[in-house]
Amino acid sequence: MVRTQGIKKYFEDPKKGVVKAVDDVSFTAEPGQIFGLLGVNGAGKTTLLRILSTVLVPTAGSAEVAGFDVVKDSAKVRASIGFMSNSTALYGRLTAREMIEYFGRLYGLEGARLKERMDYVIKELQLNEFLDRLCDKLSTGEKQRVSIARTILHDPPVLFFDEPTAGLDVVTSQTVMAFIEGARKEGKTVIFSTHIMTEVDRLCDHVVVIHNGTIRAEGTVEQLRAQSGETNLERVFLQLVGELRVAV
Amino acid sequence: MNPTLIVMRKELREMFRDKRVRNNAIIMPMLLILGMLSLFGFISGVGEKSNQKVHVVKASNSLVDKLKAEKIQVVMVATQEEGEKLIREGKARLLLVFAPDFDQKLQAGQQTRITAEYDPQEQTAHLALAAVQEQLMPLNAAVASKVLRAHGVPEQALVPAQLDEKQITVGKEGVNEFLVSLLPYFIVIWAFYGGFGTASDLVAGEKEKSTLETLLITPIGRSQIAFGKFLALSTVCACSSLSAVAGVIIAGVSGAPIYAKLFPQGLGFGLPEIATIIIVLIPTVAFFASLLIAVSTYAKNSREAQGYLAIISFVVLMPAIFGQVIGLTDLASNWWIRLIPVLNTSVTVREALQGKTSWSGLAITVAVGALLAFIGIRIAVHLFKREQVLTRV
Repeated sequence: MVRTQGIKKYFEDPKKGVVKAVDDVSFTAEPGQIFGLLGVNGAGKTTLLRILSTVLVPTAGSAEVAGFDVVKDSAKVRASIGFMSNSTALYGRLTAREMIEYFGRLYGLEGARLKERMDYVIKELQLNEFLDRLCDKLSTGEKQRVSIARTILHDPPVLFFDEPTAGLDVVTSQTVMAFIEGARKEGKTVIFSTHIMTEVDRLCDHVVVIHNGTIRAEGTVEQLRAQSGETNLERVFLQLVGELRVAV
Repeated sequence: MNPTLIVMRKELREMFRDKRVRNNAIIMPMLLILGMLSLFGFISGVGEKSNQKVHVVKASNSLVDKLKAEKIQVVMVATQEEGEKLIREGKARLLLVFAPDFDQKLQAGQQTRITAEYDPQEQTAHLALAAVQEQLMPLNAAVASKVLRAHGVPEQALVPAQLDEKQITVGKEGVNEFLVSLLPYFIVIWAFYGGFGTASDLVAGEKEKSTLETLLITPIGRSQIAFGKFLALSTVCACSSLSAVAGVIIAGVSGAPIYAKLFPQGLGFGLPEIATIIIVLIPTVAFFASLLIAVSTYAKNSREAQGYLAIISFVVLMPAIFGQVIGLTDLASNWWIRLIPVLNTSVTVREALQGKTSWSGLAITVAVGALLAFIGIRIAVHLFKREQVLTRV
């Protein structure tokens, strides 16, 4: 489970003054659920995910991930999450196998357990054909599969996806989305950040619309449609963030 | 396995797979040293008598015979004008014009003259002149001595004040002065430049490639990540510095003719000196590595990191260069020199090569290096723990 309560993150900008990247955000994401964070670029989604993954410390408010406080138990939070984004790069001079093994060890896996988990992800994601090839030599799709393997290797109960399909071709995107659906079936708590409406429609059980750092609407996709009075999801989004007039 | 060691092992694996690191940090120091020593060997050979060439306006006398006997090349020219023309054309270094009755006057104990013509801007001309003067001096002394004896004046009158030298060797015998001035510089410089090229990749490069966030999201502490990277970089810096030492050792023990002049009594240092060098090198590379990591952590990207590192490299270069010439001053014996980073390493390595290691000096040098490395690491870890490590892009 992921729970936030009044989370705020303000940055000091020499030119703009105080920037409210995330402002008073509260929500609860349950296990076995894909929880969507829908918003445009710069809405605050990445900052929110960085707080939840303990890379950033909130200015105010609290958050729990897998039952651990993101500030007080940050190491335990990090051990309980898998994080993947479109910009998640691999170490080019490591092979796919070394890359996965390295992160396995960083997550505390050793010996038989490490081997077992590696065997599992290698089989599950069909990494065998390029396992001993340097990551620099892999295709985009292969890199993304290695990235997924790295994300799930330690079998975390909570998974964060920050625009994981941005820049990917249709085939690779399908692989990523199928994997996210699989995670839901396994009872993981999935936080899925995106600005692509079709992905929200296909994947998300519950959506939070975030704009300028604040939550503008929350509910299932159908509830959001009803709330906005629109059927087209793009128009739903624009209506909810108050930008429909601009678009029209 | 300890997370710090996991990070270190991965960084080393990546670094040594990088052709730039293998070439620039490991192979180049050794090759550059060998190349440089070959050059110095060649230059020092230029001063040898057998490489001196003297043009003489047609003459045959005792000095010419002596020059030939010493294997100095003597080329006869028909006239003074012809010889001067050769100097102007750069084909002759030194032209000797003897008085026609040179030998007769010399035998009679009378003064005779030789004119040496040369282009003062040509260093080879000065070398040839020195070689001629070296042969002329005993000839003059022999004649003067003969004349004095003939007049019943004791030979000692030639040297009214005799300077007697008595050498008191402090340290070991057979010290290679060339190495004493050069090796400390190479050791210090490569300890820094060995890590210079790869440091910017270690943190700033990870920011650019977006691998840093993935690493920060793992459960291990940021100080462990920073320390793992620091250890890996220290290893590369040390390897680079030792590669330069290896280059010197190869040249010294190879017995190759080009290095013979530089190592007249062999290598000139052995295991005790190498052990001292390693002891003083450890805190030095730790200090450099911490500095490089701190800069790489602070910088937004590799390019910015390289800009800062270029400036810092001058700060490292200055004391290193001064360390080369410190033997010309009395400063090395002052205790406060040991407090100046880089310079203290140079002085300590220099003393080790001379067999004059001051143990208190070594201790202070190691302590200063360790303290600076500790401060550097604290700064690097502090920078690593800040949010800006990720957000300042």
